[in-house]
Amino acid sequence: MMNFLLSLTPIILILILMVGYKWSAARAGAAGYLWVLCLAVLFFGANPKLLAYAHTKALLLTIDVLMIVWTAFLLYRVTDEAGAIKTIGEALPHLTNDKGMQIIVIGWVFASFLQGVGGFGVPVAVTAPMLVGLGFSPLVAVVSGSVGHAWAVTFGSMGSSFQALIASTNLPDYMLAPYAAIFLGIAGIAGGFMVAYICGGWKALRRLYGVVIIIGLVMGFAHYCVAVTRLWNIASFVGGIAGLVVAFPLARRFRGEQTDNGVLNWKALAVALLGYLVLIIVILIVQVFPPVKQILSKVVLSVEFPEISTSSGILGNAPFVTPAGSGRNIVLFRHTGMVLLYTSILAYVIYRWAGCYSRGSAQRIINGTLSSVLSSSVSITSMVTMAVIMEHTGMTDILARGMASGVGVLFPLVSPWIGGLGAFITGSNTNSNVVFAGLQMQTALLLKLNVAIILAGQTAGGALASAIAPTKIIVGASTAGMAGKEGEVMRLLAPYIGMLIVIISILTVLGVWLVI
Amino acid sequence: MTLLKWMRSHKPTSFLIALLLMTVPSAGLFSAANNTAVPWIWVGISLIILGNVIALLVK
Repeated sequence: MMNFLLSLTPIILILILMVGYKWSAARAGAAGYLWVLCLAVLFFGANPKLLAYAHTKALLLTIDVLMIVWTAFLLYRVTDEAGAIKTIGEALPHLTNDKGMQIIVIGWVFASFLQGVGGFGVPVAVTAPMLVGLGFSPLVAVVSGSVGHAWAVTFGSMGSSFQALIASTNLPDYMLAPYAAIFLGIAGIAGGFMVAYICGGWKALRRLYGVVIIIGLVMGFAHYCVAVTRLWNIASFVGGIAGLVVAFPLARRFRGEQTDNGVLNWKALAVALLGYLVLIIVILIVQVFPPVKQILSKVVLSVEFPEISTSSGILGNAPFVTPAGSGRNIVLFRHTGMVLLYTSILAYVIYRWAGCYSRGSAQRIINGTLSSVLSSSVSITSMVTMAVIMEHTGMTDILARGMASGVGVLFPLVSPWIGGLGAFITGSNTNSNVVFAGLQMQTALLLKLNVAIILAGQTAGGALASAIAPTKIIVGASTAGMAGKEGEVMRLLAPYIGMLIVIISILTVLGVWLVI
Repeated sequence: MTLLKWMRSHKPTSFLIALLLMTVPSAGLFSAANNTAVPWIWVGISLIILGNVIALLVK
C-alpha cells in the first residue's frame, strides 16, 4: 500500500500544481521530475548507474518526440507567415451562407485539417475568430472549434502524440494505429453531430445529420486508411483534406440565402495549398519510394543498454530489474521530424518564389517557432524523464498492479479516462501518452487484455480531453475575445467532451470483449 | 536586476538554457555509467537538476 501511494504522488503532485495552483506544464513537469528523483533515490533503490542509463534512455525518447514538435511548428509558421492559413480560411465562407453548414465546415472540418497540419491550440485559435466574424457568438465559436478538432489530435500535429505513444511503449505503429484510428474516427463523427447541435440545437441536427454522416465517414475513412498504411503522421491532415473536398459540393447544396461575399481568389488559394501539396509529395517520396528510403535509412541512432537493476530500497523492496535491450531507435534522415524539415524548407522556397513573404519573414518564422516550442519542449523533457525513472525503479509496475487489482475487469472502462486525465493535467495528448502509456500497457498485460485496444483508449481519451485542457481553453478564449471567461467555456465544453470519452470507454470495453 | 528577475524577463533564453541542461548532460551519462565513473554521473545529474530548477523558477 505504501509503495502504491508513494508511486502515485508524482501524478497527484502534477494534478494539484496544474489544476489547483495553475502552474504551467513546464513548471509542473520540473516539479514532478525533482519529486520522482527524490522518491527514486530515497525509497525505491535508484543507484547512480540506474539513473545514468534512465536519463540516457529518456534523452532518446525526448529527441524522438521533440524532432516532430519542433519541425511541425516550423512548418506551421512557414505556411502561416505566407498567409496560407488565412487564405484557406477566407475561401470557406464563399461556399455557403447557411449557418449550420458554416459551423460544420469551419468549426469541424477546417479545424480538423488545422489540427492535422498544426495543432498546439491552432485549430481553435484560427477558427474561433473566423466564426465570430461570421456572426456566431464567441462562446459558440470557441466551443464548436474545440469539440470539432479533438478527434484529430492523436494523428494530428504530424503525428507527434502517436509518436509519443510508440516511443513510450516500444510497440510497432502497425499494431497501435488501427484501433486508435477506428476509435477516433467514430469520435469524429460524434463530434460532427455535436458541432451541428451546438449551432442550432435539435432542429439543426435533424436538418444536417446526413451531411455530418457523409463528411464524417469520408474523413474517418481517409484518416483510417492513411493511419494503417504507416503514413500515420499525415492521417489527420489527409482526413481533413478529404473532409474539405467533400464539404465543398455539400456546402454549395446548402448555400442558404445569397449575399455578396466578394470574389474568391482562386490563384491565391492554389498558392496557399502548395505548401501542403509539397508535404504529401515529400512524405510519399521518403516513406514509399524504395531507393530514397534505402539511402535515408543509413544513419540510425541506436544505443544498447545493459540490464538495469535497483538496489533494495528503504521500504525493503526486492530489486526491480529492467532487461537489457536497445533504447529508442531513430532512423535519423527518415524520421518524421526530418520529413517536416525538408517540407518546411521546400515550402519556404516556393512561397518566397510566389512572393508571399514580406521583409524579415525568415527571422519571424524562426523567432516565432522558438518562442512557441521552448516551453512545451521543457515540459516534454521533464515529463519523459520522470516517466522513464518511474518505469525503471518499478513505480509504474506498482501502479499497474495496484490498478489491476483495484479496478480489475472494469479497467477498459477506466482506461480512456486515465488518458483523458493525463491530457487535462498536462495540456496535451503527447504528454498524457508519455506519462500514462507505459502504465496502461503494463496494466493491460497484467489483466491479460488486448494491449493495442487499451492503448487506443488511452490515446483517444487523451486526444478528446486535451480540448478541455486549461492551456488550450486560454488560447482559444483569448482569440475569440473571451479572455477571463475561460470558466464559461469549460462549463459548456465539459459535457460534450465527457460524452465523447464515454463513447470511447464503451468502444474500449466492446473492443476488449469482442476482439480475440 | 536579480538573477531570478532576469530569468523571468528573458523566458525564451531561460527555457533554452533549462532545456540544454536537461538534455546535454544525459548524452555523457551513458559513457559514465559504462565506465562506472560515479562522480561524473552525479555531476551530470546535478546539471540536469539545475535545468529543472530553472524551469521551476521561470513563471
